[in-house]
Amino acid sequence: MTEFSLKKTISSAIGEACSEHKDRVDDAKILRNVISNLFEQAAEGDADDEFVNTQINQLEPHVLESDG
Amino acid sequence: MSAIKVRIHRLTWQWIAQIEDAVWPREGPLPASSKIQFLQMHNGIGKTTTLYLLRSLFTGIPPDPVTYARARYKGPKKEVGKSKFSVDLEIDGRPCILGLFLDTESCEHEFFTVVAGAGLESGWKPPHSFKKSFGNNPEFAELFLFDTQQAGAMTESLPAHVVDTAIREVARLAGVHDLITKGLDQIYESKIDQMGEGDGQRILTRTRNAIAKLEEIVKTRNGELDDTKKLVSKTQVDLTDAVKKKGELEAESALREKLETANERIAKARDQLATHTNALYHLYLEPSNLPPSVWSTVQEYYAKLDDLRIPELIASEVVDRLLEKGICICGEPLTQVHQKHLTAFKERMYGADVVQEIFSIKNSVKEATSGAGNVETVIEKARGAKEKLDIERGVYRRLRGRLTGDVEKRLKLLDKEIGDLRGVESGLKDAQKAIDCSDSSEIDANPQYTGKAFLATGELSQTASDYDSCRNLVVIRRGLRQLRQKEANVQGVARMRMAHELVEDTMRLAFDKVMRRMKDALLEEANLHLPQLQTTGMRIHSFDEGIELVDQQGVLQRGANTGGELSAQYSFLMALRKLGEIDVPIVLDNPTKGLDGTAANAFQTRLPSMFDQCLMLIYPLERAAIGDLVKRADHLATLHRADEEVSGLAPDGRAAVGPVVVNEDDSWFVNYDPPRAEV
Repeated sequence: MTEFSLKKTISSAIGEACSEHKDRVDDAKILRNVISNLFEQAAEGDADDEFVNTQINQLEPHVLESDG
Repeated sequence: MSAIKVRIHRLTWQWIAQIEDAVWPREGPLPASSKIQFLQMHNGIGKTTTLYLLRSLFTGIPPDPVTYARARYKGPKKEVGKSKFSVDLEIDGRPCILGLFLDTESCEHEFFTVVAGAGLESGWKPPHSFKKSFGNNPEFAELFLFDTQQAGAMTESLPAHVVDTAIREVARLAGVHDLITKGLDQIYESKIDQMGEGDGQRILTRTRNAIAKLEEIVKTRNGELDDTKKLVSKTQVDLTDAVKKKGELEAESALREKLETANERIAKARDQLATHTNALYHLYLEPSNLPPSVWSTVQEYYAKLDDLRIPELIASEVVDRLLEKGICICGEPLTQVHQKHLTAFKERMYGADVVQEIFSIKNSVKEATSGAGNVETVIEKARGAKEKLDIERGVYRRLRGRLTGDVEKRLKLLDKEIGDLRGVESGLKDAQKAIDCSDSSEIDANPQYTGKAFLATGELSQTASDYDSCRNLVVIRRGLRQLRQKEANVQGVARMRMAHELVEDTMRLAFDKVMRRMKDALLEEANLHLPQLQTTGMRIHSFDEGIELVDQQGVLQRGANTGGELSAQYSFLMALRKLGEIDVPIVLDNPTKGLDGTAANAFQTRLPSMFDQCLMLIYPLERAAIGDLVKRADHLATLHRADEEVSGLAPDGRAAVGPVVVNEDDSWFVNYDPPRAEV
C-alpha cells in the first residue's frame, strides 16, 4: 500500500472541509487557520474554553451573513 | 512523533494468585533494547491475573469481582500478607509506577502512583498523555493487553464503538471528537450565559426554555440510541447463537441421512452373508467337498469297481447281440436252451439305468479331487461378510447414540426463533435509523422520523413541544440550531453564533473525512495481514459497523471461529499499529490459542515486528508452538517454585511448595516442564 501519513491525511481533510465551507467566510485562509489550530490543540487535549473562544472571535468578523 | 510512547520496565507481585513476592526482571529495569519478552509459568500461577491487573492499572478502572477472585492468594503459605501488584512504566520518556493494593476478601482496592519528584501518591495519577489515551477507556487498553481466550470466545468481531474509539485514539482525534460532540456547545452555552440580557427579555426567556427542552430531547434520543444499539448487538448475539444451534441441529439432521446409509449398508452386508451361507450349505451337500482324508477313502472304494471284469451294462449288450445273431462268441449256433438261459440271465441283471449311474458316479468320483478348499474359501467369505455386518451395526449404533431426538421439531422451533430475532433486529435497526439517519432525502420521505417538527410551510417549528414526537436527531439539532440563532439574534450576537456554527460544521466535516480515510487505509492494511493468519479465505469487508467479515465468496458473516476471530483482531491491531502514532507495548496471554500451524507461523513472523515491545505470557506447553519466536526473544523468564526442578516437579516427585521465584536462565526456560513422553 502507499505510505499512509496521518499528518497529511488530517491536513488535507481540513483543507477540503474548509474549501466546502468557503462561501461562508470572506477569507478562507482564516477559516483554515482556525480549524487547524483547534484540531491541533484538541488533539493535545488542550482546547479549553478560552482557546476555543479566542479562535471563534478571530473568525467572527469574517463570517458572511447567510441568505436564509 | 508518537501520540504516546509507553514501555513496560518491571512487574511486581506480592501475594497475588500463587505468587508470594516476585519482581520481573530480577535486576534493574528491562533494557531499552529488549523487544520480545516471554514470561513462562504453569497455569494457575498468575498469567491471566497479571494481564487483568495490568488492564486496571492502564485504565484506572478497579478490578472486577472475577479479577479479585483470580488475584486472591492461593499458594501453599499460611501466613499471607497484603496483596499488591504494580507496573513500572516509561511514559513519554519519564518513569512512572502505577500500582494497586488489594483486599481480595472484601474486594477493596487502592491505586497508587509513583512519579519522579513526587514520591508515592495515593490514587491513579499517570501523566496526562497516558491518562488521555487509556484512562477509563477499557476498549482501547484491551486491544494491547490482549486476552486471546476472551477475543476468541467473542461471537461477534469488534463492535463499532471499539473500532471507532481505537481509530480516534491512534489518530489523536479523541480530543477533536469530544470538542465537536460536546465541547463546542458547552463553550457556547457558557459564553451566552455570561452575556448580559438585552431587550426582548420575554422572547429570550421563551427561546431559552425551548432550547433547554430540545437539549433534553436530544439527551433522551441519545440515550434511546445507545439503548437501541445495545439491543441490536444483543439481538445479533442471540441470532448468532440461534444460527449456530441450527447448524448443529442440521448436522444432526445430516446424521439421520448417515443413519439411513448405514442401514442400507447393514442390509447389503446381511444379503452378502446370506449368499455365502447358502453357497456353503450347497458345498456341504456335495460329497467331494468332504475333507481330503475322508474323500481319499471314498475314491479308493470306487477305484476298486474297476476290478469287475464284465460290467453289467456291457454284459447286457453282449447278451442282446448274441440273442440277435443266434451265434455264441465261440462261433457255435445257440440252441433254444442256450437262448432261454441267456434271456433268464439278462432278466436277473439290474436295470441298465442303475448300472449306467453307478459307472458315472464311479468315473466322477475317480476323477474328482477333494473340494474342501472351496469350502474354506466360502467359509472365509462368509466370515468376512459377518465381520462387515458387525462393523456396520457398530457404526449404526454410534450414529444412533449421537441423535438427541426431536430434531425436526427443534429445528422448526429454532427457525421460528431465528425468524423472530431477525424481525426484532430489523425493527431495532429501523428504530435506530429513525434516530440517527442523516440523509435528508430519507428523512423527508419518512414523516414518522420527524413527527410534528416540520410546519405545513416546510419550515422547522420553533415550538419546543412539536419536537416531542420527533425521533430524528439531525432534525432536532437543526431545530436547536435555529433556536440558538434566534437567541443569538435577540442578544445581538448573531455573527458570533454563525462563527460558532461554521467552526462546528467544518470540524465535523474534516473529522469525518479523516475517519473515512483512516478506515480505508486500515482496511487495506488489515487485509494484507489477515490472509497470512488464516486459511479460510475470510476477509475484512469494512470497519463502518465494527469489524465486518466476509467469507471467500464475499458473503457477509457474523463472527468467526476462535482462530478466525483472533486473526481478524490481530490484523486490525497490526494495521492500527502501522498507521497510528502510537508506541505501546502489546501484552498477550496465551498468544497462540486458537491459531493453527500456518497462523501460528505467520503470527511469529508478523506481530512482534509491529511492536517495539511484545510481552508474552505463556504456559510451558505453548512454548513448542512458537519456537521461532522464543529463539528471537531477548528476555526469557520462568516463574516457578523454588524447590521445583526443570522437570516441573520437586526432586522427590511431589508437588513443589517453595516460594515462586523468577528464573531468567534461558536453558531453564526452554527445558522447563517438557511434554511427557507417551507411556
